[in-house]
Amino acid sequence: MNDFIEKLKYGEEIASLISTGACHPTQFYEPVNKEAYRFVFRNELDKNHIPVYKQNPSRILNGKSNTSGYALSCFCSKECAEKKYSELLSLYPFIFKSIGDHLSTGILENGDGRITSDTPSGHFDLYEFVDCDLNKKFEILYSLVG
Amino acid sequence: MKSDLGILVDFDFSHLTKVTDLIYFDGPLLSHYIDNSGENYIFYWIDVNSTFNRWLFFRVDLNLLQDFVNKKIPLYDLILNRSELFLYSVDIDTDDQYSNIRLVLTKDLDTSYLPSQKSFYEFKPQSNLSLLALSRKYNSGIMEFRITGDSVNYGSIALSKLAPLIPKIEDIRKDLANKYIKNRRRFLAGDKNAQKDNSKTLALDTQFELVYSLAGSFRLVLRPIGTQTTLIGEKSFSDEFAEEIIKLFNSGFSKESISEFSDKYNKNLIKKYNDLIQYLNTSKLGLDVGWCNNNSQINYAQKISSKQTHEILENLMYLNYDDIEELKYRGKFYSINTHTGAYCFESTEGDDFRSSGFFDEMRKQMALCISFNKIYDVVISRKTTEKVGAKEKIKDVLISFIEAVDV
Repeated sequence: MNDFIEKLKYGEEIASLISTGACHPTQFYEPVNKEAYRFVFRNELDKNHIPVYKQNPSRILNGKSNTSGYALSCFCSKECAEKKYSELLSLYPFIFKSIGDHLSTGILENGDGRITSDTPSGHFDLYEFVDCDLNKKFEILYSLVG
Repeated sequence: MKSDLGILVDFDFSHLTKVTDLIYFDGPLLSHYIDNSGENYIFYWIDVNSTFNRWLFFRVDLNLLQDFVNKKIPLYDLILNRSELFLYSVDIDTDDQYSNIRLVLTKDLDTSYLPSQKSFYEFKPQSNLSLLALSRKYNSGIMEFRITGDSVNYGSIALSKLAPLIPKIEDIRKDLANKYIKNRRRFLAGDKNAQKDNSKTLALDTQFELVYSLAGSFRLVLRPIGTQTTLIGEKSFSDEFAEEIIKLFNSGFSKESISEFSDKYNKNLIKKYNDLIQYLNTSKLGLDVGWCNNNSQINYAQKISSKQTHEILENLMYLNYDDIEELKYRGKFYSINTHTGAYCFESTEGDDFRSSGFFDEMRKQMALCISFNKIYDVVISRKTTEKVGAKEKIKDVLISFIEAVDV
């Protein structure tokens, strides 16, 4: 198990989930001046930067089976984030009600948590440390909905 | 959330088992399920309010689903161009409670919920999601063989590729099970009652039955025939056996591990492992093996991609099995080279034994005395060198010959 799990904001829940056989990334990295983009709500700030397993209602089917449900989805570039949003919007006309309607950005540092590697589509997960608060770090850029 | 359409109905969701999440972003958005009779269902997220997420779910033909995953049709067609003219909607809360289940005629669907007509699949199915759910459902450990690579589609594989693979996997399981059971019995040897009690359990915990063949590449999902129950967190025989299987698949990635495994088991098992990897290599297939047991909270996994099979075969090539034995035969020499010390000998005992090799230094000096029409009792030192995946090499040295006196 990763030695930093106890430092994570949802470390206990993640450790408990791993012990039941849930999927968990094998490699993590320390973010150093890492540019990150996230989807957020313009008018419901209290819903921002909350991982899916902590949202109410959570979008879960058949229980929790992946620790990424306690992580925050990020993109490494504006273009990657816009592309993913546009793909999701073409499949889910009301996706903005679930994941947000605006794009936000901020710089991630070592003290914020641990990140997974970028996927080919530019997505990575941030597993936040206890004191991480992206509401203070991220600024809202613009609307992603027509 | 839009107002409700259709009529309230009951639906037994306990018959549904999740295969995978086809689209996942901060939670599932499009999920593939299968029911007990093998019918495929899709859950499609459509909306959310402060209490519920709303989903549409519908039965779908696997061919249509494959067309969607292979980007031949958009999601729009997957929902609307089915033979069934209805679907269901359901509201699901944070506690996974299902309510407001409604049967809706497809033609009555609110079109604002529907994806665009160019909504082609640009994602990858999530892996390893369903094993935990299956383990919970069957209250048992679940083993999965996931076949990937050439000619493997979402949920289908050419029979010509699958058919040779199954007996190779079963050969390995059988060999490994025999040895594992022997070792386990030896461990329990001091306790006759425990040995007797555990014999049947061991046999059943090392055999599998097919539960499903699932989509998501092509997946064979198996569970142990045995129903050994253990305390939460306690390792069962089936967990131990699954660990051995996964270790075997993992061993190919290092020469040391293969060698250790070979010492622990036997060369036949390693040969069968080699046969399997050879087959994967020539067929351009990959094989992922996974085990998940929710009761004991144990999970193992090992992936072998088609590209990695070459690396494993190279490691296996280094494994030599040398064997030296002394053979005693009665027969005639039919060729001797006194200069090089080479000889050819054949048995006269009616067993077709032949040997070609060299005399040792002392016998080479005496070879001139040999007569081709006489019968001799010989002792041959035979060294057999066998590389995994290659033909065995035999080296014979004749270390004794005496003219037979009782012919």
